[in-house]
Amino acid sequence: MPKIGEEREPLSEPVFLILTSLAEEPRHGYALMADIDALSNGRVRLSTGTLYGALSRLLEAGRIERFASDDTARDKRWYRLTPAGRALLAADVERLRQLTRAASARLRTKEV
Amino acid sequence: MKAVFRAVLHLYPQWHRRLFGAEMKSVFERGRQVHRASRVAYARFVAKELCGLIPGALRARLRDEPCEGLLHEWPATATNVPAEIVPEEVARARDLVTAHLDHLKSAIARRQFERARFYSTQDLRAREGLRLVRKKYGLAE
Repeated sequence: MPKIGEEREPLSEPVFLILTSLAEEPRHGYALMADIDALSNGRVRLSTGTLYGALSRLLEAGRIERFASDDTARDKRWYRLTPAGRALLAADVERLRQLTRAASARLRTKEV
Repeated sequence: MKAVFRAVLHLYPQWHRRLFGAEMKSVFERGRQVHRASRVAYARFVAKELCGLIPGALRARLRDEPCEGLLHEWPATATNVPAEIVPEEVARARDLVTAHLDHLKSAIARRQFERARFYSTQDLRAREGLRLVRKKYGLAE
């Protein structure tokens, strides 16, 4: 199975939202879920299974890192973006920007 | 419901449960508490959780066990202080730690264990260097 970002395919929505959430600051599992809910205006509510499936693949691909903080409970782990994860997110944002520009231009042509 | 969640969690392969089991239980428990107020919201939450867990377990079973090094838990100290509030020397030492860490992970991912051992040693040295410059500037570790 190819690793996330290996084949330059568009990121899935959960992966895109996880990277976007971590681009701001490191977060633990529940904080990620809550932030993704807020980021997507309540449209995307990840289940625990979906979240940890995506986190495991992102960890394996070296796009995020997992760490324990001294002041948190034993079962709470934090996740942060690696430089490779930030680069992957930036590349996908650029891809979406290009698509948005092309779509907007075509919509404008049709309106004229 | 907790018992059902734990039972479904056993569908995941052992490596996944070892790494994420405790966290998943804790996240599920928080979600359960948040949705407790309304029966409809609770039922939706439970259904969504089960719909996510079962295919998730199946996908995890179909995957190879990930390389242990890549799922390693890194210490929180190296990159948690924003760059703009630390002296240049500390920022440079921290960048060195990040660079060695990236090389180490890349070597492990490619199963180049000789190279990984080299960067593991470099990583330890860089961390010691970082510890010393942080001490010099009176920054907490």
